[in-house]
Amino acid sequence: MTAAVRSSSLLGHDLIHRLMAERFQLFLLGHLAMYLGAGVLLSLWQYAFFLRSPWLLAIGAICTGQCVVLAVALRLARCGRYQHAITLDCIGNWVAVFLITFVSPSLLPAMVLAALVPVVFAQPYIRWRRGLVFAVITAGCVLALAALARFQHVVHWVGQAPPHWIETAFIVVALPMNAFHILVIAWNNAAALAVSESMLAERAAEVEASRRRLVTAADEERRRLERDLHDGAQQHLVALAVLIQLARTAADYDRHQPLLAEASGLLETAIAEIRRLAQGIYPPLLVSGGLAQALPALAAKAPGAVQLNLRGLGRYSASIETALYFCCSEALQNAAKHGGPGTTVTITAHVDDRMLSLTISDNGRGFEPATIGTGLMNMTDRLSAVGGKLFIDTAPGHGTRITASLKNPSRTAAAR
Amino acid sequence: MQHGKCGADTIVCGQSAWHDATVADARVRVWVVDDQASFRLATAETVAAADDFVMADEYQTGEAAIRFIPDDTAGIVLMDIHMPGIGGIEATRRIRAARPDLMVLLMSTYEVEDLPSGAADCGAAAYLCKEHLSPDLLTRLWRTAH
Repeated sequence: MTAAVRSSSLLGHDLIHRLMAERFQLFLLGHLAMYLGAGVLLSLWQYAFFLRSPWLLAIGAICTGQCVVLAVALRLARCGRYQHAITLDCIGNWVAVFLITFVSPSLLPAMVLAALVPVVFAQPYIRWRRGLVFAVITAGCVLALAALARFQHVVHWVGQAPPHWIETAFIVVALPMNAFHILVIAWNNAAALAVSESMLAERAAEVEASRRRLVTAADEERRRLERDLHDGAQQHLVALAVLIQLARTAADYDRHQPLLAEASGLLETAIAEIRRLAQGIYPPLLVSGGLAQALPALAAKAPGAVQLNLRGLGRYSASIETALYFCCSEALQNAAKHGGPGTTVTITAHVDDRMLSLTISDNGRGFEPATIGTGLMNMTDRLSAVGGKLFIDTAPGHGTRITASLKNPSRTAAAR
Repeated sequence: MQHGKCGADTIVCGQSAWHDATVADARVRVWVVDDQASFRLATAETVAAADDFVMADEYQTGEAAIRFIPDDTAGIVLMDIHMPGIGGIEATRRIRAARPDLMVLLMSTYEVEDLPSGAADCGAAAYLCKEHLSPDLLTRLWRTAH
């Protein structure tokens, strides 16, 4: 059961996407909190209680602008538009740190750190080329900040310079906050990398095990085919050859009729045997009519009663149709094996924009989940190979429900 | 093994192991051991078409053949190689050890190159592909050995 769930590719991707979304929003919020706290609130607090300086209002106004930019970026991120969000944040941040350094060159160290923040956490969310461009622009921005701080006096800033202690207060607050923010991002990136690596290793091990099982299953299938051919059709044909030879060489013409009658019977048995075998290798209706036609034919051959509800099933790629068909076939065999007399099986299709699933449930005796046979394990691997998963819900005395589920491929894979 | 002219592969050549077998004018008894009903039927028809042979009995497993074929008797055992249980090769070995007068012919549908390793030294007189079975072949194999 655990293997059935773990072999799915959906879980890992979902988890990774969720973690990525959460991290992105967390960092944007941190960035926002920094500008709001150190830039807007600290400025207004000092303006209100200590010094009514236009310098403080200028810092507050610049930071308010960047807060608005960050709020918009946060909204974009919630819609999954990371590229736009990070671009907006970067541009707003470059402008803000430039303006703040222009207004107050002594804040340069804090602004240099602030300039680095977006590019440090943007990397997983944007394309490589854009990330490189952002990194180069940020380096240019840092250089420009240094130049501005060095030569700012040339432009003769006319505003009233604030007292030294106010600038010191900003540096004392903003510098550790920025440094801490960057460190948290760096730690988080490292932790995410470690988690990704361990998930990747686990997934690689699972894929390898699944591949080994699939290869073994394929080999066993070939052996079974050889045995079926050898013990079935071939034996009938051999006996047929002997009987025809006998009829051909028999001197007594009265012997011809009974020999040919027996030969004819063997020939029919051999044909039926080959038809059964071919059907088991790949059902012809699955090729021509898809699951909607092949499953009723499969149900008709099942030993017990089978109810079908296949509304919404379309045509999918051959690998998906084959995987789902043989899941149903395996589940029906399972029901016949474990269900007991009078077991009724129901096959229900659930199709929507996102998911495609088939549920095969029976009211039979059920079985101990720990005793899952190789057949169902192979089906799990097979579904996993097409990006799906198999859920087996059973217990002795409670029937069995097997659900084969995968992302609806109609929108991505061209149906034949 | 050599490929015989009569369509069978001779496994044991040279001296006959059943030189003191049946009385010359008595019909030779034939047992068939095969888990496939269709081939037992074909064997019965073949034996019925051969004047010198008579169907003694048929068995589905090697174990049954060992148990039920009479001890002091001569004749031919047509033994399928691949059967459930001990299989044809081990059955041949035991039958030949207990009843040296019986001539065992191994049969299967495989090519002679694909036979299991024990086929050559289990005491069988010859290997024949099942589709080559005919009254004529039975007669020639029996006469060659006698």
